[in-house]
Amino acid sequence: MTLDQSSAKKITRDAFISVLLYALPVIALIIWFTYTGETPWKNPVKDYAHLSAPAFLTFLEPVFRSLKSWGFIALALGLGFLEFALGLYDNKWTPTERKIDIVCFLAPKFLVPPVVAYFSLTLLPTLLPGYANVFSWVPFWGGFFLIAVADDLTQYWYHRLHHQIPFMWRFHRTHHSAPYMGMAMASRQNFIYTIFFSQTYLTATLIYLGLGYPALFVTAIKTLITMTAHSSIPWDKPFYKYRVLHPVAWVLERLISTPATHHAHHADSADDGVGNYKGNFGNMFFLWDVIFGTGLITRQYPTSYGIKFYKEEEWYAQFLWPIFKSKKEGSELAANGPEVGDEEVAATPNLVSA
Amino acid sequence: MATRDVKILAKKIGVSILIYAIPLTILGSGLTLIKLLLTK
Repeated sequence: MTLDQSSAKKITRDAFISVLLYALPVIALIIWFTYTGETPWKNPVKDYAHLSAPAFLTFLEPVFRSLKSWGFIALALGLGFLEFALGLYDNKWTPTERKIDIVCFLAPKFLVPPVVAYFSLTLLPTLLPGYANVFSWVPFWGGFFLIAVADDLTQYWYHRLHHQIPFMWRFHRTHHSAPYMGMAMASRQNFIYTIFFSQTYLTATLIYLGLGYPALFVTAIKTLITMTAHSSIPWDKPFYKYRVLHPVAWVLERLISTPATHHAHHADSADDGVGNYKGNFGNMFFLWDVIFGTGLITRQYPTSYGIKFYKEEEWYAQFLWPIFKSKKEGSELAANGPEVGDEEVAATPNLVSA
Repeated sequence: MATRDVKILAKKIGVSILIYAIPLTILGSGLTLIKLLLTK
């Protein structure tokens, strides 16, 4: 299966728009320095981002540091327990799904940090010697804006291409295979998808170049938004229910990923006009979907989740395909399975889906 | 892993590197440009 011409055209067009979007923080900095006449790179002050950060964020710094070190794990476990207690997984959390969710939650916590540490502490100083902290003159808000755009737009592209380029789909499939939504979904990924996350290494490089302080805040806020967008606790519902909150909802649902828009991305069908599994790719910002026309906002939640071509493949195949293959006949993860099974289901209406 | 899988994996890593390198080039050269443009 190959990429169709219209998708290829859209990807090319949007890639060019992205160049401008990536450059926006740099343009904003040029305007700022021209307007203020500041030239902080001439007399670099150690930790300038820290010094130029607003007082309330400096005050909240220990909270953000705790979130990054243990807070998010505690939050994920706490909310996961709440979801379980509320019965939000229904009877869909089968032994296979349980194994996948637990392995995908735990294994990257132990395996990814050493790889990123090696990249940051050994590889970058070797590849870019003398460039450590070279951009430490960037003021806090400039760095914040820059990291927010760079990290999240890169993840948008990483995510979108895994959906739109057929050969990449199977690396991302595990994230969509569960027939339910919940906290566990945020980390439920094939390990190869996780370990080659482009934005992880981009942000690590920007930290090496001197943008570590703003990155602390951006990555914590991003994790919080991403986790709660996957949760089966619909925190955004009050914004749609109460008329007085509608203007806030309008902005919020266009700016960041909410449970409604992200659940739509995990729907198993688009037939109800709510599901949009071929769009709504945004992670922290939904704005990218608005800009590129890949978003659908309905303020409703899909009735069912997952993928039509699911065969409850073994946990090891879902976690480490193509290193380990599924033994399930006809599975996308089997040795001779189809590249994108859902496309075959769509093309052959009488084909029985799993 | 079969040869076909190794090729898929290599292509996937290639795309990851590309998605990493493009924004890094834009931002790195943009920030360097600020210093060059605004230093009198």
